[in-house]
Amino acid sequence: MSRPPGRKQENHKISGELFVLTYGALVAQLCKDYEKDEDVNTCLDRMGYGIGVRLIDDFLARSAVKKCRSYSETADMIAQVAFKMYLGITPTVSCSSAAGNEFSLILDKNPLVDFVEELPAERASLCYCNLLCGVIRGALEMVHLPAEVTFLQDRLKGDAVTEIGITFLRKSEDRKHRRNK
Amino acid sequence: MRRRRRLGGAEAAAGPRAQHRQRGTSTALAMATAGPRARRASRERRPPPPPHVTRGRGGRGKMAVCIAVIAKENYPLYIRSVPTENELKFHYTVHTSLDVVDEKISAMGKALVDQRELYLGLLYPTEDYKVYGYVTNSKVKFVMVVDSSNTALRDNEIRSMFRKLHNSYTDIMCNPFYNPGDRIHSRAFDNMVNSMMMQVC
Repeated sequence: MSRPPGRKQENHKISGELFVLTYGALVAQLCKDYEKDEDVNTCLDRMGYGIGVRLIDDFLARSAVKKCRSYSETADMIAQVAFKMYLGITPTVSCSSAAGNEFSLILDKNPLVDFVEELPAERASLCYCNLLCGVIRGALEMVHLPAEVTFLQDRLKGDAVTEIGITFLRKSEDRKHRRNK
Repeated sequence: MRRRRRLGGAEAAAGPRAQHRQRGTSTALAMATAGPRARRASRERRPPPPPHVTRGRGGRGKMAVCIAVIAKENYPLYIRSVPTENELKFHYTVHTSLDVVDEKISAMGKALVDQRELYLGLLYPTEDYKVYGYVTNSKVKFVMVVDSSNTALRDNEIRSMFRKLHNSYTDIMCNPFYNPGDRIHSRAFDNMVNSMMMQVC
């Protein structure tokens, strides 16, 4: 599954629009299948989870990152390496809790919503990119870092920026050394 | 040549929409057969145009009076005109211009199909307005009505306006929540069309 970096780059350039259009068609079809926005959001999250648990191996193989020693390093890794590798964007990370286990990724540019101007009126609470949340959650769970990932702000709903919140759930035994992210 | 032939037979074998035209036809016939110089002279002899048109003429010259997007099945997806009192007249003008569009498409279709250009050019002139047309390969038509007194508007400017319209239309098509055949309700498209329309206070 791991490809040499050069070929990966040209794959990105070719199929960027196709990927965005495919994702849009997926969301539109889910909207036709489910009446409630919450059902669509749950379905997207579940799909993302399935992608994430498989994507993490590809990510670790391609990026060959070192062990992450803290939650903030993990969040930085997600933002600067993973997002850059798969979506070509680099969100900014900010820590939003004193305990150091809540982080938020602020995306100033989201390629998935390139063609979507605004959500249709009857879908006001749809989280269009909920798949991303599922991917992050699935990937973190496979490296034994359970987390809750949700959208805190969404530009499609009228907020200024798109913000994804990652809350690392504390495990019962407190371990000093985290596994490789 | 083609225009004169069509106008000559306007009363006899006109398209279904053009048969409704009565008063406009004779004037258009006179204008068309008169020749370009006589047409311009007769325009100058007319009384001065109403104030909103004068303002447009002094402006940047990239201004249309009415812009419409027509679907393949010939119903309007989007139609926006300058908010004067006679908006229905623009709707009617666009409707009748669809005949000319169909004629141009079929005429060019008999020639080499791959040489058919998207920009159709001037569809027909009336005494007040000129109507331009553009057809995409999916048979979606863009019709633009421009004021006749706006002589600064050149052909390549009209072409660039149609290109912008086409680009905005493809952006709308890429929206996953837009079903082809729906009416167009897009803020970005509205802004782009507003930038092309004549400013009327």
